[in-house]
Amino acid sequence: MVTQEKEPIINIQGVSKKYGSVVVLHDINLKIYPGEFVILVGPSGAGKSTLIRLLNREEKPDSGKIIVAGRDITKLSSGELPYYRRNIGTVFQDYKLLPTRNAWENVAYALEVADVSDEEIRQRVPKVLKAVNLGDHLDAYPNQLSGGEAQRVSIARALIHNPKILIADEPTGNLDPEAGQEIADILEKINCQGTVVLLATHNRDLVDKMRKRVITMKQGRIVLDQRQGRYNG
Amino acid sequence: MTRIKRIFREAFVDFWRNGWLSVTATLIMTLALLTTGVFLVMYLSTNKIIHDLKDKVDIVVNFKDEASESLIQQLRSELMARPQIKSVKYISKADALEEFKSRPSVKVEVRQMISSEDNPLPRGLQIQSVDLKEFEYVSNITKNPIYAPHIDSSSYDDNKSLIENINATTKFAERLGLALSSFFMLIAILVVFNTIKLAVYFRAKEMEIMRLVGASESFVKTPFLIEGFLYGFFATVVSTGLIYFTINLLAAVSKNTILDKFIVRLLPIYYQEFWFIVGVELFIGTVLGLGASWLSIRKNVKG
Repeated sequence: MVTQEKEPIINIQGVSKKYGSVVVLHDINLKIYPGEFVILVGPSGAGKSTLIRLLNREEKPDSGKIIVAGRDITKLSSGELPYYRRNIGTVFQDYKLLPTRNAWENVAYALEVADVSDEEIRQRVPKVLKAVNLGDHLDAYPNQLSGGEAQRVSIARALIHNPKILIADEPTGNLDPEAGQEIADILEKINCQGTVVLLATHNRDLVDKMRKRVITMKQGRIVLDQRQGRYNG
Repeated sequence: MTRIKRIFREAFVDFWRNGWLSVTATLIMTLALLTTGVFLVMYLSTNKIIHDLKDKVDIVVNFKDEASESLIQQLRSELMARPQIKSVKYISKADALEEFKSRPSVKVEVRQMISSEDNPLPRGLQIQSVDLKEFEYVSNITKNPIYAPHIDSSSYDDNKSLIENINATTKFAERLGLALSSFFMLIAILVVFNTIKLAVYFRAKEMEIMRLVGASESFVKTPFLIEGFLYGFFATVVSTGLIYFTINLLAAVSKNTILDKFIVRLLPIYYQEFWFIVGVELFIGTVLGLGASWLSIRKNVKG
């Protein structure tokens, strides 16, 4: 599915990152094109999560450029950051749901911060919850949800702004195989609707079954980039 | 407008749903404000009581009968020229007699013995001062050779030890009150600060999540500041209620006890200064709540 003719939507150029004296990312170069589903694999400490934190702009690289939709996000000001984050959806291993807000409110929160009207929130939230197969449990708080449900709320929240890119960091890491499979199905569905999905995972079965572009990282470097890859971690 | 409405809603929802955390922070803050409130009530009432007491202490300088009227008026003018002296009242022989007769302790036989024609009571000056220290000055002036030979007696020496006692007690009470309440306030501030810091620390992860889903800094931080204000606001309400209830309870219980005299004097002062005390508590509560939240947020959330 790699269509080299198009402009990449994510273009990582010569990115390095050190924590103290430990080099976690070493001269990373990676292009991701519109419509792609990219799986990032590799053992713990390979640098997957760091790469995702850089894309999320939770952190900045020590050197190199990260161009997303034509803009170098390493140069975003703190005022621009919220706007950037509303345009990429992020899903985390630990769901990162607000504990004092119920499922509905967690999704609505992402719209509230963007000054979307109450009227529009009431229309958009049920649609996106439906898209992730959540119709009931709307009033349930995160601690009342199962892992799979919580992760689907988290995906719903990530999708609420119709982002061009969805980044998922080990979304199935805390889930049983069945729930994990459901999350993978939802991610594929999202990708089919045109959203770029970048999935970092340890889940060998999932990777082998999906037959997507697989990028393998080891010790801070990309060691393999396969079009229809398998798990090589 | 929607944004402001939402920020306030966030704050109220969080305050409510964080139940115990909010209750704890509010109660700790209540203790701090109770200290302030109790100190204020005690300070204001003892101040008023001592002030009233000072008003009752005066010096009477009595003149011998041969002293000329002009000499008495001269001393009066001289004393009145001093701004610290509140009033100097001339007491004629007739005034003195009237005052003497009106004393309930004077027996009827004695009253009848003294008539206005045969009045042994001296003329005098009754001096009241703003400051008890001024009595020393009055005493010195009366020793001036111009006046001294004509002065029969002065109540200064009688009142001296009383005056000194009041002065010393007042100062001691004020200093002790200030020291104690400063000490308690300091402890209270530290405890409040730490409680709020813990509350914010527990929720640092929440702030991180908010930022990750695209909330601006102000959208993340302002609700926490409003919550800090709410701790102070509700603590003011609770501590005001507690003080009000306690004072009224004491007033009811202390009837016919030693405490009654104090409470009876304290009650009107408390009512009179009620809004002032509430205002001070609200101010301290707000500054503490907002300040502690602001400092904690700054420490816990990287910009």
